[in-house]
Amino acid sequence: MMLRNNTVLLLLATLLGACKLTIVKTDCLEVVASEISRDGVLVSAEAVRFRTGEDCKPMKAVSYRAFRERNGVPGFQLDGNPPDVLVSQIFGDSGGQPTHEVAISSVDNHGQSTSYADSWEVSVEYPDGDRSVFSGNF
Amino acid sequence: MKLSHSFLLRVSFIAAILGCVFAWALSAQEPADTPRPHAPRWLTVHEYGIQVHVEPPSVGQRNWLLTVRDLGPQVPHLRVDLAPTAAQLQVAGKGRLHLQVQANGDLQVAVPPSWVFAHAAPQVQLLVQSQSASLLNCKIQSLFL
Repeated sequence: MMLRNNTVLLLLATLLGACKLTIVKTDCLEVVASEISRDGVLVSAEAVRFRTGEDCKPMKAVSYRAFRERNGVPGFQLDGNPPDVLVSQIFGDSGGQPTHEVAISSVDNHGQSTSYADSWEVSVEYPDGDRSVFSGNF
Repeated sequence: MKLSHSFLLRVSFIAAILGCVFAWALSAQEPADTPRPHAPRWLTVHEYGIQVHVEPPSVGQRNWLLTVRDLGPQVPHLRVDLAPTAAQLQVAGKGRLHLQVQANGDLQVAVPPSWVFAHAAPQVQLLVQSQSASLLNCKIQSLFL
């Protein structure tokens, strides 16, 4: 039975094509999700890892949240109102010190909500006050 | 025991009706607005107000379509509002594609399906420029899943 479950998991991981998936990678910042699984409408990842280059600014804080669009324009609310946040902001633990690598574990598009988010947002805050924000859909 | 023809017809009819009701009940349980695989994917880079939109092949469209859009000044967390004027896409092991300017100002390119294997996200590098300034140079692997 266990062998069959493991085989199914392995097959699923192969079908999904990625145990680790680069969400975005720029000159200084890399955001990678690991062990992503999609079960119908539920999307989850074991961890989202944020990494900045040694020559780049360290990160002061990172966060993840998931939301649902309320109009037809993907990526932001045209009317200026906030989206329907279904998974409230989850912060990575950097130990209170600026760091070049930090992870947020166990993220999904469901949280405690009764519904499923269609969009995600990751945010990186730097010690100098700068902020990098990326959003996308599941 | 021999069953009559009309009895079999009635049973078949009732079974068909029950099947339809069951199928309807199953489909009604799915939320109407839910994330689906193989739907268009997008990534917004809020710093520059740029959105990268990737549409998979569909009926009547055999290529993947990648579009770079300027979302304008309304995007939250916008730092530099520059319109993208040129972009290049590099798919690992395949080559480089230049995005073409569309009538609405979007930059767009068609990626042949043979460049994107099923169920495997390719290594894709996107370079977006505004005049000579580089706005974005990033990997966007997840958009092609």
